[in-house]
Amino acid sequence: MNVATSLLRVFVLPWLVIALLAAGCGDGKTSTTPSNTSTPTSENWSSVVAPGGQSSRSFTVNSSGTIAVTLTAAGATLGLGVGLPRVTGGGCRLGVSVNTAAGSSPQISTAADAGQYCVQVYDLGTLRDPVEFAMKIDHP
Amino acid sequence: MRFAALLPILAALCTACGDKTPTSPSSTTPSLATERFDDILNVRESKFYAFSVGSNGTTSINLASLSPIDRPGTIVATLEIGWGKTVKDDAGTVIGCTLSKVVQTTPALTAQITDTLVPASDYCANIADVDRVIGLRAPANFSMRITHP
Repeated sequence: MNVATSLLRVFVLPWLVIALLAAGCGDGKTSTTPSNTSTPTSENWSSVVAPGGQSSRSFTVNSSGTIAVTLTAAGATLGLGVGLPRVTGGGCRLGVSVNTAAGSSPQISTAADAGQYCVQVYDLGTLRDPVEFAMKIDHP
Repeated sequence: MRFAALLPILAALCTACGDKTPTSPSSTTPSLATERFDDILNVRESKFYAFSVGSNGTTSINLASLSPIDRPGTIVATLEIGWGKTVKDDAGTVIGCTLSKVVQTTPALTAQITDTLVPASDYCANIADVDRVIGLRAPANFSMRITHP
């Protein structure tokens, strides 16, 4: 064992160990942003709307974001809307609505706060027989 | 020997590490309540709804829906919504709403008004059909959401 190795072992190595230990400390103060996101949810719904009738379904938006509704299948052009569920009884108080045929891209895409919502499909006064429909609802 | 002398320092450094005790995030956010104000608004009419703010925090008011009385769908119209202080008679019954803030808006699913209402007290949300050109042409169902501490 030469002199240089001895010096390294006696003087340098302990301080190197101390430095490494000290560097390992101090990460407990890292600030983090509270997570406040919710997993995007996709719901599928299919039902029937009768002549002069309407059909609605409620869903919950867990955080602010975009509600996208796609009428994916329908035997006729129908009314499609998004709104708030009625406080009493069933049904929907619509805030946004369109008259639409089925398609592959959202017919309604609207910003929304967290809360309870509903979608509604309704006859525009053109149906003579009940019509089946299907839709996809994407929301936070 | 010299390394042995450093052992207490090493021990102290090791015990200084590892402060990973989980702590609960501090939260002073008050719990929020959401109230619904659903009614029918006639042409050139106004209506108000009283609510109580329990603590300091953000109150939001949202005109979410405006729909026909006699059929499904929505109405495109601009209405005035706002908030203010309730007016009470000698018996403590709410008889009016003195407005502090108003905005003209169309329905949306996000809040049109977001304000801090202080002090914690009784307030009111108001809706009014004020514009003959872009307002209501016929009576309409409306739905408002009031979220407050």
